[in-house]
Amino acid sequence: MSTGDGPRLLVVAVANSVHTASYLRLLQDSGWRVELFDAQHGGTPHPDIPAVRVHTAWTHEQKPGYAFTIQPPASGSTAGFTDRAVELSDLIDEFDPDIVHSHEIQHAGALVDLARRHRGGTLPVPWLQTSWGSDIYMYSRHRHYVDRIRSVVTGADYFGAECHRDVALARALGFRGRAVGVWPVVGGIDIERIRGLSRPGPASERRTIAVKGVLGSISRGEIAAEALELVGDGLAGFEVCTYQTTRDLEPRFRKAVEDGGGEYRCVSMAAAASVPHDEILAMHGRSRVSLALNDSDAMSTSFMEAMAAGSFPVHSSTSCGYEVTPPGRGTLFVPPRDPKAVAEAISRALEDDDLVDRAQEMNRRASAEHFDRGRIRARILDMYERIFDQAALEALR
Amino acid sequence: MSTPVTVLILPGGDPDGLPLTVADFRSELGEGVEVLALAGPDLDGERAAAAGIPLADPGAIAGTGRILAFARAADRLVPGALEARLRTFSPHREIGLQIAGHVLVGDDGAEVRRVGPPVPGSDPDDLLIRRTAEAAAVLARAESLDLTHLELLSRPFGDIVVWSRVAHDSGFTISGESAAEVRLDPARHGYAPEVWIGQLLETVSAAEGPDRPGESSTRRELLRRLYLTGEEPPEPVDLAAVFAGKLRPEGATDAVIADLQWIAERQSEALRLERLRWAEGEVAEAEIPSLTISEEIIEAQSKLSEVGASMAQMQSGARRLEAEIYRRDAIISDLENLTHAEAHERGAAPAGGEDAE
Repeated sequence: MSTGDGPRLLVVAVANSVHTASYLRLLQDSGWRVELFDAQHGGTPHPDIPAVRVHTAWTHEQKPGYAFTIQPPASGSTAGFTDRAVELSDLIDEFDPDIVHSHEIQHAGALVDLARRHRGGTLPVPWLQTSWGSDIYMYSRHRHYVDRIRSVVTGADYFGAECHRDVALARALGFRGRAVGVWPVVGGIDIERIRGLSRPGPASERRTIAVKGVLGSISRGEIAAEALELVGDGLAGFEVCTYQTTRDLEPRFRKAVEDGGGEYRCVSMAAAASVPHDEILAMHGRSRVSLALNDSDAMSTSFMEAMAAGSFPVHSSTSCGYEVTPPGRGTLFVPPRDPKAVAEAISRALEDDDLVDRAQEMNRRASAEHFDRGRIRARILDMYERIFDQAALEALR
Repeated sequence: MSTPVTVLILPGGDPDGLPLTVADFRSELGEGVEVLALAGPDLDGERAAAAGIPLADPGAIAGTGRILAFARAADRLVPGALEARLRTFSPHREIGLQIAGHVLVGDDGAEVRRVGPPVPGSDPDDLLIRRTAEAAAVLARAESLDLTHLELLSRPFGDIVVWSRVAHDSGFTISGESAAEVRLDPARHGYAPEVWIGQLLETVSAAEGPDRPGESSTRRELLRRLYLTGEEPPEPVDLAAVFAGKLRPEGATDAVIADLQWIAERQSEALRLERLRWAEGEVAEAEIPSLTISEEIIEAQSKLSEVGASMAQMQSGARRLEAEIYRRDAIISDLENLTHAEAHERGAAPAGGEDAE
C-alpha cells in the first residue's frame, strides 16, 4: 500500500489504536502512497495496521504477522514530544507528502502543530485535521487542553469530524479553513456483515439486551448497572449481555439481572480484546435494546453497530447520534449519570413493541446511508483527491 | 458490423481548445465520425461551427442504437485508448456505460495526477460521491439515455448525475485505459466552495421520486455549505425551486422537510457558539460570519407543504424567542458589567432566587 507512484499521504495518528488500523485499511488499493507517523510516545503499533511504513517513537520488534514495517528514529528512541515534532518535520521533507492528515487532535494534531511552528508557522502542504470522539466536545471544555485545540484548528487548512456539532465547535474555536465533511473516524462499519450476523424479523421479537459495561474516565458502566437494578422485574425473561465489562462491575451486573428474573451473560471483559468482534456484532444482532453510556461522545461505534443490527439504541445524550436518527423515535438519548432516566428509557424500549420495530427499519436505512464503509471510502478518497487538486490549482495561479 | 459511434462534446472546458479535441476524435475514429456539440453554457452554435461541428439534436440521439463518446473542449485523447475502450465495451450490449481513467494536467500540459477508473464492484452511488468520472473517459449506449439525461448533460455539473443514474439502471463496466488528458479546471476540480455547491445543487435538483440512498446526505451537505459554513454560492439559491421535484406525490416531501428542520437546528447551534465566542472577547463583531436562521429556509419550508408551513411558524417563534433572550442578556450585560455568557447565565437562572431572600 505504501509503495507506488500515486500521490503521497502522511497520516499522523496513534499507531496502537484499532481505529487507526481500521481507517488505514480503508485506504488500501486506493492509489495513494500512505505512511503513518505514530503520534503516541510508545505503544506497539496495532497488529491490524495494513502494509504501510510506520514511523514509531521507539524501536519495536517487527513480528512476522505484521503487514506493516516499523521505522524507528535513527537514535532508537525519541526523548520528548518536541523532539518528536522535529522528527515529523524532517519526515515531511524526506517523504514529501501531498497532504498531511492528523487523525485525532490531542496527540496527532498537537504534533503537527508543533512541527508547523518549528517550520516558522506554515507547512509546505495542505494540513487536514480530523476530530475523534471526545477530541473537541469534551477536551475543549478543559482549560488544560483548550489552548492546544485552538492552536490546532486555527492552523489547519481542512477539518473533518464525526458530526456537524463538532465542526461547529471547531469553527467557534477559531477554525477558518474548509470543512471537508462528517463521517465516523473509524471509516464506518461493515453493514453487510452486521446484517448477516443479525437475527431476521422484528426487533420486538428479540429477547436480549446488550449493555456496554465498561467503567472508565468517560464510560459510565456503573450507571448502567444501577439502571438495570432499577428496571428490576422488567428484565424477567430477557437475556442481558454485557460487553467490555470491568471486573469490578461484572458481579453487580450479574446480581441485578438475576434478581430481576433475567439471564446474565458476560460477552467480553474490558481487557479481553481476543473476543472476536463478530461476537459483539452478533450480540447486537439478537438484541432488542443496546445500552451504552459515556460522559462524552461523538458517533460511537457501539451506537452505529446497534443501529445497523436493528437493536434499539438507548444511548447517552452526549452523543451526536441525533444527527442521523430522530430522538424519541429512532433512539432514546439519556443523561449518562442519571440511572433513573436510563432505567425509564430501558423499560420503555422493553415494553413498546411499536417503538422498537419502527426504529429498526428507520435505523437500518440511516446506518446504510451514514456508516457504510464502502460509501465512506468513496467520500474519503474524493476528499483527498479534491484537496490534492486544490493545491495543484493554487500552485498554478 | 461494429456499432456506430457518435461523439458528443459537452459544455465546459476551455472553448479555445475545442478544435484540437475534435481533431483528436477524427484522428482516432476517422474523418467521417459524427462529432456533435451539446448546446449549453459557453457552447453554442457559433462556437461549434467554428470548430467545424454542428449542434446535436437530443431527440435524434436518445434511445438510438449508437455508442456515445463524450468530451469537453480542450480534452485531449490518449492515442489508441478510444479504440481499446470501444473494443471492450461493444460486445456487452446489455451494459449501458463504461468508465475509464484519465490524466489531470496543468495549463502547461504537465501531468498533475492520474485518476483511475472506479474500483471494480463499486456501487453506482459511489460515482456520485466520488466524482471522478470525466466525460472524456465515458462511453454510453444511446439506448440507455433519454431526453432528461441529455438535458442534464448540457448543464455544468449534470454529467456525474447521468453517469450514476445510467449505471444504476443499465449497469456499468470499467476500462483500465487512461482515456484522455483533462485540463485541471478550477470550476470543476479542487475544493473551491462554488465547485462543491454547483455539484451538490445539480445532484439535488436532478433527484426525483422517493429518496435513494445518499440523497438525504447530499441535501444536508448542500444545506450545511449554504447555511453553516457561510460559503457563498455563485448565484442566489432558491431552495424551494431546488426541492420542487420532491413535492410530487411520489416524492420525499417529509424527508426534505426533515432535512430543512435539521439544518435550522444546526444553524441555531452554530449561531449560539459564535455568540459565545464573541461574548468571550475572542473575536470582533465584524468578523462574525452572517449566521442567522435563514429566511430562505423558512420560506422554502412554508412553500413545501402545510407541515412545512407549521414548522416554519414554529421556527419563526423560536427565532423571535431567541432574539428576545439575546436582547435580555445584552441588557443584563450592560447593566451589571458582565460578559455576555455570564449575563446569559444570570438571565436563565430561576426567578426569585437571591433577590427574593
